[in-house]
Amino acid sequence: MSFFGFDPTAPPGARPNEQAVSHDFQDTYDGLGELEDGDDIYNDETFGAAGSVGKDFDFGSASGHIQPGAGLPAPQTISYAQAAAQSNDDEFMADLWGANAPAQASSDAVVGAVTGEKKILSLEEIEAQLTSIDQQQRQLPQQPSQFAPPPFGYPGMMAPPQYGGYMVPPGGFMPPPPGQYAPQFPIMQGLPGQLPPQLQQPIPQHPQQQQQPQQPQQPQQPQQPQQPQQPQQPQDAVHQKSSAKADLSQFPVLGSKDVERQHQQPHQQSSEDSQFQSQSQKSQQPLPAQSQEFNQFHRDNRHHNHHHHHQQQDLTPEQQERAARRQEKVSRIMRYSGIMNPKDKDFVTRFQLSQIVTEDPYNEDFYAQVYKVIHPKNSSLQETSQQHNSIAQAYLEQSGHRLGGRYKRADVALQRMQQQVQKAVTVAKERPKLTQYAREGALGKISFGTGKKPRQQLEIISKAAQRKLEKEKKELEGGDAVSDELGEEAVAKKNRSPSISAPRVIKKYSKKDIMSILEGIITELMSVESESRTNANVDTTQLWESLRVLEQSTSFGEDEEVNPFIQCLNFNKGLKILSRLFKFLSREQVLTIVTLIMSNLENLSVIKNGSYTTYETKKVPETIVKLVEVYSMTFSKVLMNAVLDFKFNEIIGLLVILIEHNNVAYVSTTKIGLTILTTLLSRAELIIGEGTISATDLSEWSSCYDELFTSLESRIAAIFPPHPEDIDDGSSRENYVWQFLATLSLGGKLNHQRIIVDEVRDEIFGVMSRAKAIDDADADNLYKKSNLLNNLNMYLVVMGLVADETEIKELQT
Amino acid sequence: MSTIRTESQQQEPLDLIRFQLDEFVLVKLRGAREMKGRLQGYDSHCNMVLSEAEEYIYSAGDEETVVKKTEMVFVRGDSVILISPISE
Repeated sequence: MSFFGFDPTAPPGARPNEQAVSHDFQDTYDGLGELEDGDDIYNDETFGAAGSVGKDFDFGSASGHIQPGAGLPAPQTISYAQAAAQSNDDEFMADLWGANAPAQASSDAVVGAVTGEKKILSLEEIEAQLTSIDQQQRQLPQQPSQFAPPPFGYPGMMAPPQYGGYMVPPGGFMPPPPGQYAPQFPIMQGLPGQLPPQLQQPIPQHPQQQQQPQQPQQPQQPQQPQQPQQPQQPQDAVHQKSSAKADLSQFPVLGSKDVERQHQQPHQQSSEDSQFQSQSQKSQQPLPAQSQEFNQFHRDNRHHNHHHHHQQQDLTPEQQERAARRQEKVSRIMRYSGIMNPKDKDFVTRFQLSQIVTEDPYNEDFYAQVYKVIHPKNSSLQETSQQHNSIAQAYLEQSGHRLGGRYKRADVALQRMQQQVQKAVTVAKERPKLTQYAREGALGKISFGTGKKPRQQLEIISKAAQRKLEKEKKELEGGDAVSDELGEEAVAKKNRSPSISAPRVIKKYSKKDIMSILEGIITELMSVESESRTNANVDTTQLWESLRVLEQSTSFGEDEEVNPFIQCLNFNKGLKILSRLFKFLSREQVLTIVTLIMSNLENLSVIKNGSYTTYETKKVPETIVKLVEVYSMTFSKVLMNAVLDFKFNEIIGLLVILIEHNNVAYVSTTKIGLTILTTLLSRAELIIGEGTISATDLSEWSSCYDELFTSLESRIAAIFPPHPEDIDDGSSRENYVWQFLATLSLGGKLNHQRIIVDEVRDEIFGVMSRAKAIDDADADNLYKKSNLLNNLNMYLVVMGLVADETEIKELQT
Repeated sequence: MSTIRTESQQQEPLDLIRFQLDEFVLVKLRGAREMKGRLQGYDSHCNMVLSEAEEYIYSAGDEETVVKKTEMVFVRGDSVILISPISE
């Protein structure tokens, strides 16, 4: 089948007659390509000659003028390699570029290809032939160099390796067809930046290209007008072959520049004079250079002369030095410029961006995001300069990129990145999330590694997991046949639902277990948090389950296992997440947690170890004191907020649970215990103060209060630590002990208050004497005196009393 | 008494370090050094950030062990030999 609707099997003689018919489409031809193309004869090689060929192919719009010769049928036996080897590439090229009479040359080539029936060459023979031709060409004067490879920008066309480094013109203003301008660049690299206007100009093309000015700069277009539509493959190969040939002759081989220079010598000598003249005009128009070498030399010269210019202008040594330095700097910068073509740069940029791009900036770049929230753009100056790249800016902000155009230089880069970013994002989103996949026919698996998630080398299932898998398998297979021991365990496992476990075995949480649970909670919390940023309705069931609040504590004699959540509260990090945690819990869940805590107060290490009574020195150790501080910063506040939501009977219920499960007298000797009691009591009293409480609730309350008071009675003085300075040296405005007593008195009746006063009388006078001990002249400590008295009076005011440092009076109202 | 498996998800070696986050750890380092401090962060290279850190530099001779205190310190992972929790 031929592309042009000819029957390749028909005898050549019949051709001319048919032409009249087949040339109808000439009218539609756009006239851009004047070339003849001899390659059509290989169509049947490529596409096979079988099948009848119609004439209604619509390739006319793009195809060139059909020459009689072009339509000649190729003998079926001719191989492509054979044909390619036969055709004289140079002539072919010249013909292609219109250097010779096209029709004649092309038909020549074709005729040569067709008629020169040779035996099919082996690869070695072809190579030998090529090299011999190359050598011949090398011997030739500059003439062959005119026939540079045509500017066909085949994407797949590989540049011959020897000039790989010189592929792109400096400045990177255009991607030339690989190799086409290659010879210019060894020289260009030395070109100083003093000639910027020239650099901005496209480098003068060699004559062939100037003859076709309509399209010199778009080599990436696969279909150029000069390139009639035709089978890509043969054409490709021909060009590769021809360019390879031409390369050897005219392109500098790395390390062989000297040879090249020598080559050029005669030419340069002859044209030197005229160049000097044109040089002084600094003209920008393309010179009537005959060859690329000519151009190179010209440029070289220009550079050279520039120096002379400067020196002639009587520059001061300083200026000269400066100019030289500048020149040196520029040449250093220019040295490697253009090594990467825009495609390379695109690739690198995309690669870098793909490392930056993240779908979850809040998790992966949390601090930068938070920083941005805390420090909104404060420099308006910066902002104005950033307006033009707001898209990239916005994107980068979203993606957690910190650099965000802080420098002007980055601005420019960002601008150019915009498209890249969008592309990269879409690509990243479309990319499958697999870490590896097996490609059909590939040996082994292809795995993707990123900076964040390095390539995984091995996949190992832990032994425990494997055993579990096997066991489950056995269970399925064996059913009842499992051994007793195993069966029991399996049953125990089966019975354990995620949140409520009913284990048969005695279990004990090691510290590691608790830590693991705690980290699990934190992980769940963070994922819930990040989800909540995008979605208002977050599913918190997993978070709730990870808390293990409902895990039943089992008691076996002395060894009571404390609920893991309570154990988690013994660690700093467990406390720190409390306020974040409670945000995501429902009221019922919060109530459940608080109830759990109330029943387990004595298991909290701040309570268990927080009482001075357990220490011989009557002092709480430093570590516990620190933990207590953390508690009052975190837990107490969270509890206070939570209690605000509770109903009156719920608070009573909490108090009852607290009294039943704990030794109130002991709990009251700890700071946190007292604070909790204060919180509950004061909330209850506030609700009572609102006056909307039913009589039954009130009676419940009074019985609850009585119970509490009974357990405290005769031990109230013990809530004061033996070293009162420890808890209140007057420096703080709050004293939790007096606060508690005030709350307790407020809720009690007169006889309650009397009992309290009786018990703490010594403490009241103690505070007064301590206040008195602070010298009025000691201005630095004077505030402590008032603080001490204020704290004391908070309690006394409840009973209508007020104290100064010497006496207690009735409150004047 | 047996410890129960509390984790449904698979545990990794580095989890042992994760569990010590915000806790005091002892880090044994090359060059006869140790660091004690609160673990603020770590990565897969065992790079670590410790707060309230104390560095102990031991010497073979009679010289005293040098103790340096740092508010916050970054420990590069390539010198880490072992990490262990400090039991209170």
